[in-house]
Amino acid sequence: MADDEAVNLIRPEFPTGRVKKIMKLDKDINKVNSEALFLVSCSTDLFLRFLAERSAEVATEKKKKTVKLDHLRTAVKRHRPTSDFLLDSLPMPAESTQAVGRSVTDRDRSRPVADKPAPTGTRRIDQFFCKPGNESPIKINDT
Amino acid sequence: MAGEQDRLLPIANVGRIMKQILPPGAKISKEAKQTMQECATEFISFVTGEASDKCHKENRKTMNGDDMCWALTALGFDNYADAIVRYLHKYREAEREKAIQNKATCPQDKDEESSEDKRGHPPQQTDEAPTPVLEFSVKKGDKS
Repeated sequence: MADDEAVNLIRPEFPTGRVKKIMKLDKDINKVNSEALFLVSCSTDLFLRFLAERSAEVATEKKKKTVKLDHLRTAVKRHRPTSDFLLDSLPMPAESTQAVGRSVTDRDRSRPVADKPAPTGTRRIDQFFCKPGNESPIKINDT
Repeated sequence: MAGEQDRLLPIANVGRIMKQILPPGAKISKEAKQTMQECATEFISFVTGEASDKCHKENRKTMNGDDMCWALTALGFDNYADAIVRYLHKYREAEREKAIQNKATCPQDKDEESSEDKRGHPPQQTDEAPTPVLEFSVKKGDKS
């Protein structure tokens, strides 16, 4: 990597005070040295750029000029380490009415057979397996 | 609530980075930008937490740069880990130079390094004697 590039990138975008504040929200964090603080800023910068780039790619695929939340969600899903920690934190997608309609028609198709009337002259098979109530018990010959 | 914003990275910084990355003419919805802000903040907490766990396990109280590098790799962010290791070296180099410069402001007598040449003669003084100042005398007077 060229030195100029490194020098340009060596100044992270985020105010160190705010980054430190966010880190300290975790009560388990004791002390953080300046190196670590610097690197957190740098890596967050890189992460955000990565996320922005991937989201923009998704938007382009869908021929949209405005990057939206759905594009971001897709981008997150596509990168395993990111989706592992981030997917649950993203706002829930809005429930679509189409999905609900689909499940209703499926239910209509798979109506239980038991509801249908048995053809004339036949007996339902489950009657063989019913516990004897009015029927006489089966006799066993003990000889 | 204004207090909530303190727990997030400033949206202005987030927006600036996004503008650099997105193709010209592309826009980002307000909701997406705010979510990016939250994602970046979440990333900080996530990686810091991992690095902090390592410190605890090793009975150290202060998180350092190496812990950060380790955490990134452990969490699968190999693509950043390489760059971050380079940044760490650059940072340490810059810190060293700063320390040297600070020392230079208080000059100390340094021992001259004597390295005899192969013939065993004493080293030639590289510092030449100062060149004699040429004096110009400006002739005043009439042109003749």
